Parts: sequence; C-alpha cells; structure tokens
Amino acid sequence: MATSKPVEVKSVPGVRRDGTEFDGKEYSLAQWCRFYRGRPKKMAGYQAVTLIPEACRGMNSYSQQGTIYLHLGGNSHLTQVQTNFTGNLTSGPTDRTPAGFTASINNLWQQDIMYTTTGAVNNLVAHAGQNLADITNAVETPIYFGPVTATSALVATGMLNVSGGICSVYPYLFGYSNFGRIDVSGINNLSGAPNSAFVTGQKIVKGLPLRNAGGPAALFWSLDSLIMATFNPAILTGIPFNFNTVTDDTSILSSQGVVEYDGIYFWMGVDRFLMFNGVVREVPNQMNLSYFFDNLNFTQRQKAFAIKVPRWGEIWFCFPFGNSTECNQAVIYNVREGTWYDTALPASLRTAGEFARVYQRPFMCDNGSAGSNFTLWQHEVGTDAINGTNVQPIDSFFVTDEKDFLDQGIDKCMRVDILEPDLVQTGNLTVTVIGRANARSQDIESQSVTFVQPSFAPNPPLDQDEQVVRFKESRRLLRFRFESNTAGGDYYIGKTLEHIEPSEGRITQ
Amino acid sequence: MSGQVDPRFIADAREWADFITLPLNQIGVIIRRLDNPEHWKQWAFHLIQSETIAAFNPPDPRFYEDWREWAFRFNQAVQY
Repeated sequence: MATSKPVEVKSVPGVRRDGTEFDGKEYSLAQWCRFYRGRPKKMAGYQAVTLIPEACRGMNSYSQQGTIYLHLGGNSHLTQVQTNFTGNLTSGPTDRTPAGFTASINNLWQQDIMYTTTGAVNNLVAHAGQNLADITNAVETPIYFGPVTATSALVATGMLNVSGGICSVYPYLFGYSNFGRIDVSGINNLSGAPNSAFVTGQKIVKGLPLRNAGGPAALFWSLDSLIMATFNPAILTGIPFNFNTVTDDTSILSSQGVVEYDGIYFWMGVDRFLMFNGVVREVPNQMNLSYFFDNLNFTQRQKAFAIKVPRWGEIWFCFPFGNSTECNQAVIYNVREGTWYDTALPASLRTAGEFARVYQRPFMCDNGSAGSNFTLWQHEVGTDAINGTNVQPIDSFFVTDEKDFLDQGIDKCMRVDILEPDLVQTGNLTVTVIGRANARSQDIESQSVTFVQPSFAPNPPLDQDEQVVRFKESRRLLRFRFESNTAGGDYYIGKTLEHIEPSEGRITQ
Repeated sequence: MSGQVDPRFIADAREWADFITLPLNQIGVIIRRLDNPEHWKQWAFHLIQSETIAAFNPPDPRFYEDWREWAFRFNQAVQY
C-alpha cells in the first residue's frame, strides 16, 4: 500500500547565498529567476536596439512625442540613440560629443535634463568625470549642455569645472566637486556663472533631487557623508539653500550605485547596503550580503551600478564578480517582496543601465566582444535574447531548499514518487532531483525529466504520463531543480506538489 | 505644501517616523531615530515634548494603543 503523501514544493522566497545550503528554508540557487507573490518566475528577455561605438559609461533617457532619446556617454563620445516605445531604433546613433572634449578611458558620465529660459528648451546636461578607475579622482572637467531632442554637439555651460558630476534640482543645476564644493546655477540659466559653497570635507560624488515641503531640495553623497540641501527663500544672495549633514559617517561604493525608488534612496556602501527615507538605515540583507562584498572586484568598484525595474519591485545592484573587470553579476533587492536574490548577467556583460521612467522597460549597454560590437539592449522584452534575426534561449532555473524528514524527527531518506507540476508554462521545462546523504557528502543528481507544455483545446489534452512527473529517487537531503532553456520558454510556478515518503535510513553515502 | 505623511497605509511605525523626519526638520524639530517599532510610545512621547511640537497641543501617545491612530491625530494637530 502506498504511504506517500502530497506536499507542496515550496521554499521561502529569495535566494540565500550566505551560510550553508543545509541551513535555511530559502531557495538555494537561481539564475535569471525572480519572485512574484512569493513564487519563482522566469525573468523576461532582452533585445538588441542598436550597436554603439564604445562601452557606455553612464546614460540618460528623455521621452517626447513618442520618442525616447537615449544619450550614452563613453570614453570619447557622447552618442544619441532615438527609439520608439517598443524599443525599435528610429534614429541614430548620432555623435553629440562636444567640440574639444577630452577623451579618457576613465570617463564616467552623469547626465540630467534642465530647462533653460534662453531658447525655452529642455536641455541635456552632461558631465564626464574621470572617475571610472578611482572614485576619489580630483581632475575637474567641464559641464556641457544642448537641447535634448537636437542632434547637434553639446556646448560648454557657464558652470565651473567639477570632478564629481551634476544633478538638476529644478529650477537649479547643481555641480559638485572636490573638497565638498557645490556649485549652483542661476534659475533656469546654464550660461551664467554659478555660486559656490563648501559644504563638507570630502569630494561629492553623487546628487539627486529630494522631496521637500518648502521648495526644491537635494541629497548629496560625499565620500564619507550624506548632505541634504533645502531651499531657503530668505537667502537673497549667494546660494539660496541650507546644507545639513544627515550623517557624517557613511560610505558609497560607486557614484553609479544610487537608485531612488518611490521616494526612498537605496545605494551600495563599501560594506553594506544603505537606504535613506528621512534617516539613513541599513537595508536588511541576510541573503547575499557576504556573497556580494566577498566577491566584489573592489578595484573595479566604480563600474558597479544600480538600476530599478519597478514592474517587479526590483532594484538591481550590478557588480564585477571575482576577477571580472565589468559587471557580470547582480544582486537584486525586491522591495515589494522584501527579499533578495541574484543572477548572472548576460555573457556580453553590462556596463550601464537606465530605467526610462515613462516606459516600463529598462535599457542596458553591454561590453561588446573583443573590443567591438558594443550593443544597446532593451530588457524585460519577450522571453529570449534577441539580436536581429538571432534568437537565443535564456537559461533560467531555480533550486529549492533541502527537503528532509529530519525536522519531523524522522531519520530516514525522503523518497519522491510523483511530482505534480502546476505552473504557467511556455515551452518545455525540466526537473531534476538533487540531493545528498548529509551536509558534507557529495551531491547526486538524477536524470533530468522533461515535462512538456500542456496543450489545451482544440488540441487534445496531455496523456496521463505527461500530466505528472514520475520519479523513484531517494535522498536524505533532497532538492529540486526546475529549468527552462528553450527558445520562447517561460514559467511562473504555482502550487506544485511532490509525493514523498520515508525510505531507507542511511546517513552517509 | 504640507510635508505630512498619512500613516494609515504604512505598515511599520519606523517607516512613518523616518518619513516625517525631513518635514519636521523643516520646522526646526530634530527627532530621534525609531529603531524598535514596539517602542513607538516612548519615541512619540519624546517627540511631543519638543518645544515646537508642544505648542500645537499634540495628542498624548500614552492614551493610544495603535500607533496609526495616534499618528493620524498628530497630523491633525501639528502643522508641518
């Protein structure tokens, strides 16, 4: 008589990399897999938009009249690409590099949009700091601007040269540089000379606008502090802002590593993840904090960048893993689900990313191959990696936590007879039983079993053998690995059941 | 423009406390960081003793069991 009982195949949402595999109830491994409603789901695919002349080191998007204007900064060029909302190239790439621009392999761009009264246009404001190899670099370089929808070369603003970067805090433009210097433009005026103030000790590397009750405000990250600027209309000469130090003991890993998500700012510190929602707090992370900071190639810290994917509540912290000199891995904080997971980035790596805001899909740039074929990609599209007519499947998988009977006080192996897959499925998936006798023994993998995509009316339903997956596998510590690696493949796991029963009692192999 | 944050749709007292830090700074009130949401009454009692806040005659948190209810009344009483 069969004694097996059905149990749901489910782990705690998120992928825990820190600690041992045996010690935890979260998923133990995943690739190109996210979590929604606590269930694993394959991430969407990406498609090539166009080739670009060089690796992108900072990008900006602006939308008008059904066109997305993407500006991509590189070592020696500022390139404009125009796409429609479906990600199809409509114009470009167009070179908008300012005349007399100083090329440098360390150029790292910060760009923003600023309206100017003169000309009555919205402008792209762009600054290439030589900060890619060294966040503390002190070389000060010019700030450029030009109408964002034009294709002409940018020209120099009247702002002072800076080493950090720029940000728009309407109606002012802020530039920031060494020794905690902040320059503030006139109102909607980029041609006049700015006013300057020294607001902290260290170089300021990043600024973003901030919500405020009484006028414009901004946050500035220096190398060791967080500064808040708030508008003060009573100051009639100089800079009409008050500067307050929120904390003078914080850190920032990369000037590209800050993301604002629903009014809360998230960033990578040098040894933890931080957030600001009125006060500075550490982002709780017991899943992959050590995985990130132990494997980060710290010499390439400035290449780490953050990007948000609000459709799924995600903030991606992309970073160079191990000896990689470009971002090849991402840890992802899911704000909505309150959990962390990670994924390897595509093989062509990623050098920059931008969420287009008025459009739901982010853009990312890759590192090309052999110093050429640098490509702009639109992510969260379809299910595959699409480059022209070349369609490649994206390997996506997840591995559950280790199931066992030990928690129930039963020192027996777990035998799985039947798996009842329940999922939204496109294309075939495979499931593999993995497991071991104890926490120090070798993993033994079963033969992968394919379960085919069900066909509904008018096609005939699956026959009985295809409705469930039959195993005769037994492990004391048992995991399932679900994988999709076919063109067009997609999955979103539902309430999948396993039929299990105690079997033999060996505790070693 | 008000800097008030409606507490009714915020899950955690810490989040609300964090969010009101900035607008209260604007009226000259420096507040402590709330780290343990279970200690919200002590935190709130400290807050209402600020001279600027006390002038608005804010509700006393000791008479409330739900932090949201107190925070909602606080927003009604205090102009920030």
